[in-house]
Amino acid sequence: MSFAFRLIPKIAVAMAAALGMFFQINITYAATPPSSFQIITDSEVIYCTAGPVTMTAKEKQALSEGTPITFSWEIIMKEVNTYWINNTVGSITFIRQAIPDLISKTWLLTDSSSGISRRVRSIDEAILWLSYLDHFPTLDRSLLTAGSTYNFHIKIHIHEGEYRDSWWTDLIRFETTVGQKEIILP
Amino acid sequence: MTGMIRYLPLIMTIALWATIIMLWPGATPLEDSIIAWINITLLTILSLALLNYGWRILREKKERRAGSRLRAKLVIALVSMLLIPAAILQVTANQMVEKGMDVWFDVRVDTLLDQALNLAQGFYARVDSDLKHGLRTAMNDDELLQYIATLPISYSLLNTRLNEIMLHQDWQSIQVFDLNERLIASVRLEGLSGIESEALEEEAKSTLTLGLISTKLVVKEGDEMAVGYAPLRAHQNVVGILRAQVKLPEGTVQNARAVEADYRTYRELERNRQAIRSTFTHAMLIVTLLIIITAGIVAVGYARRLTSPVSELARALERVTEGDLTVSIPTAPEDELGSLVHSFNRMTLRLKQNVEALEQTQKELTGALDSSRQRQYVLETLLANLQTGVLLIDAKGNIRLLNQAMRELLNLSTDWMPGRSISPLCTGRLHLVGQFYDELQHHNEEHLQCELELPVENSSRLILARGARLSGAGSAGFSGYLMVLDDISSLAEAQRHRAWAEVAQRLAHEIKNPLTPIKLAAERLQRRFRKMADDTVVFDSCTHAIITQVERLQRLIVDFSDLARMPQPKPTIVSVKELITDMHELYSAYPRIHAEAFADDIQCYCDADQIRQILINLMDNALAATEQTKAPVHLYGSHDEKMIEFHIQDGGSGIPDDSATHVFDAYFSTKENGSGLGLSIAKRIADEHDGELLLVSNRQPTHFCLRLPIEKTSMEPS
Repeated sequence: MSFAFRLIPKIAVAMAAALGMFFQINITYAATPPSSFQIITDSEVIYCTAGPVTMTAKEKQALSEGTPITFSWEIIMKEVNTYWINNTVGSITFIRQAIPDLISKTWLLTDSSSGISRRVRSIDEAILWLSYLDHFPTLDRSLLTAGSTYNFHIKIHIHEGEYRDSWWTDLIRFETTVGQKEIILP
Repeated sequence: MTGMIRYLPLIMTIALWATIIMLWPGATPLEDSIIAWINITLLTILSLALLNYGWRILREKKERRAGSRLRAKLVIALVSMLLIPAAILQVTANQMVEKGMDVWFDVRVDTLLDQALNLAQGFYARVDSDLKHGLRTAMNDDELLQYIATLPISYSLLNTRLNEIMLHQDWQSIQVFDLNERLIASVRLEGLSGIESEALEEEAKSTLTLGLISTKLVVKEGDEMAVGYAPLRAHQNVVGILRAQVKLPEGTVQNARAVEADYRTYRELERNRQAIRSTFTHAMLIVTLLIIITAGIVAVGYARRLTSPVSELARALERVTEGDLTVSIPTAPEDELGSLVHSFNRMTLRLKQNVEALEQTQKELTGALDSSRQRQYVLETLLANLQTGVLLIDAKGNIRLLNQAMRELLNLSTDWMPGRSISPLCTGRLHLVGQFYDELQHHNEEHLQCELELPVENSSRLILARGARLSGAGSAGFSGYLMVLDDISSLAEAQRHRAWAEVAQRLAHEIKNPLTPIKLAAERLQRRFRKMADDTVVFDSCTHAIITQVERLQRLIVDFSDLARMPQPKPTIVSVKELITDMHELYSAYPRIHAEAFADDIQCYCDADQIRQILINLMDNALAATEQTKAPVHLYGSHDEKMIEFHIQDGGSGIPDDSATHVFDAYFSTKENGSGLGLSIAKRIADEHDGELLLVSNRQPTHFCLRLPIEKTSMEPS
């Protein structure tokens, strides 16, 4: 037993080394070049335009060969504080999914934010729909204060295969930052 | 080989690091490489543990910790026993997966699945094509268009016609909507029970807008249906929308969907072929590593438990080797090692008891030895300070003990030492000692005594030798011979002096008294009866001879008286330089005397008159010896820190060798008229001054040396 206790520090060192390598790799993967990201404001709503996010050849192949592809989008808005941690104003998480039908050669597109689903016959249309947010309404402007600085952070997670939303999927989900931008409301 | 085994953990660590490098997943998503990272973590833990263990083994090699080698061997053996089959299993499993992959993803399966999917797609396309063709036929049906375009619409006729078209086209339902998307007519195969008002879909709206036929696949309650929309035109104007629905055969749909599912699965597997292989390899590796780590921990624990008693035994033995006999191993397992531990404890207890007994004995022996050494020291000191020579000879005739006095007494060479046989040493001038030893051996008496006259250096010594036969009893006894030698030369000389003194006194007393009347009578005879003598020459000669011989006898008696009544010396501080100067002046009439005065004014403590008497005697002898040859006579002095020396040398005929040893004996003279007492008296004076008179050489030159102490000695004036 004492022998096992003596091993604990050594195992801890080994675990720390492994964790170090783990985060190093995670950072490497997250550092893929971000796509275009724009914040558009009008008198009432703040919109986001992001993407299109580049899909890998493997993902495109999977989509063409009948494997569903799910894009999990997350938009986080924070009020930037100079001397304190940033204050989260709001966050939106939604899912866009493309489910191929190989028999009819169509792709069923679903959007969890609007609840709309439709079927398209072109894979490029499906890919564009998955990877591109066009004028996506993000936040009511009344929630923001004029003159303040806000940070918009948009991340995606691409899932290949049947998507099952459960509590533990968030724990092992590694997202990619698409874009990050600060705005000062006039 | 043992050295290589010691480095095995470090070699294995390097191998593990190489494996880590090979397994490094690179810039791949963590989700895909998480299993690889688990393996890398396990490998890192294992490599660090091995590195630590290897380092400890090397360190223990230097420190020589007890039991470490055995433990290292056990751990390495146990882990190796598991590692080798695990590695073989890993390689075999990888090969099997590799081969299995090739079988699973065969090109024939690939083609077959493509063809099956094409077949399913062809079926669906055919249904779609048929539906479109039917719709095209229906939208151009004049009777149908007439019923729709004629107002008011005759619904019974319209429905009848729709029913005819539905049955003809083998559709499940057919519906007609007006431009406001309101249902005008509907016919269903299953009858009116299923009539429901459904909203038009996006495709219907596009059909209405573009005027084109559109179809779509609808999945509803597990059934798949092909739905088509076609514009109804009357007089070039769209007047309504025709909606037709065809239910796909259930079995065919199931088969098609099964083909699709299989195709999808197959493609997924094919896409992830490398990942599957990697996952399998990593999964196997995880199992292997977990087994190895578990086995390693168990092996270390087992080895520790097994070697712990051995280590304790080794440490206890080290302490015993260092002399700590109080050591005891308290705990022991119930096995052979435990029996060994118990035996060790009994052994140390017994050893401790024996050592205690030995220490007690040693203490007693040490006491006895100290006592013996003390006695030996006393004996050695006694022998060293003894003026008597002591020689101990064992039964074999070897010298066992010889004191310094014996060496000095007989002037023995360095060959005389304990362990040497005495017989070969007793030759030449010491043959009398050998004879005494032989006589002692063969003599019946226990003790033997005799006087030996042995030549030592240039003189002879009278030695009183006493011997005793030693016969020890028992093993501790000593058998041999003890010889004790004393120099009795001085004693004999003293006795001789005393005898001569008595003789001289008696002679002087008995002879001196009649000599004077004899001399006076002879002189009277010479004066009164010379004229009356017939032959005066004879008369003169006779009387002269009487007078001369009487005078000689008187001188002889005076010398005897002097010898008998030698006065005690009256020492004072005397300048040696003055002594020599006085002697030079006294003999200034003799030009052949060369006296060398002292450069330093050295003084000595002596009776000046007696020393002058010695020097005069020596000078007279030298002048007498050189009277005919007129050879020079040298008188000079020298000194060291303790003694002053007077040297008298002459170039005369010298002293015969056989007389040289007797020149200092009383009444020994080589001169015709000498009494033989001069040198004897001189030597006696020198002895009484704690000095010595030596004959340095008996010829060419004849050299005498008088040595006197510079400092005041025990000689006291009377």
